[in-house]
Amino acid sequence: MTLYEKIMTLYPQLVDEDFSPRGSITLQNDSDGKGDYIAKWEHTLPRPTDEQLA
Amino acid sequence: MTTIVDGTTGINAPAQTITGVSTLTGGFTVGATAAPAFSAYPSATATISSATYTKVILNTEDFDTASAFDSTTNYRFTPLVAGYYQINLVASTPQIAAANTNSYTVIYKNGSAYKYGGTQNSTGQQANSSWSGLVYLNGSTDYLEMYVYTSSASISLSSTYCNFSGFLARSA
Repeated sequence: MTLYEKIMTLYPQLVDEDFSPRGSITLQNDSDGKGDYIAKWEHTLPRPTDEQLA
Repeated sequence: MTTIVDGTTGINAPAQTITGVSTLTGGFTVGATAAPAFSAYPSATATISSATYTKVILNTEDFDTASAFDSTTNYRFTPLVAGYYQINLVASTPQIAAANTNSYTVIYKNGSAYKYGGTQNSTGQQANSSWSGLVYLNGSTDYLEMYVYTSSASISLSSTYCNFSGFLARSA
């Protein structure tokens, strides 16, 4: 399951626009072997914890 | 007298006398720094996670005149000549599965998203996104990277139709 899928499982009310360039959430992968991560979270919903995303 | 105009070394002219105007005693050189130009692309198809800005592994170079593009570690362009660079990004995916899929190619400057080129496509269409424009780089620490984004389910980014290129358009 990708990071995006985990977040959508936690918050199914989120929509594509939340992750778009004008959105409040940025997921990123720098292709450095470290995988996907949350680069920006400015949504009113609380930022998921590492435990929730494990 | 011979004046040499060269795209790499600039304009070179010997000492000369221009009647009625002035006397140039030492000759002159204009724009004598090699102008960086590069073009790079990924060697293999890459998988892009949904809704995730993903750096493209540009590990193959068409050319890199000033050795300013890192195609082995960070996949970034760091020219050592300050100026305004014409930058071009293009990315294409195979047919997408979801309707109203938003796809972007994104130029990152110094690690942050800088400019976006986007497209919206329907089920079964290819998603072709691109961006072109001028970017100022300081010739020392500034660098550029190429990222892609799709709102569809995880997709494959075609290596054949993905390219990052640029050249010095005007020195600072």
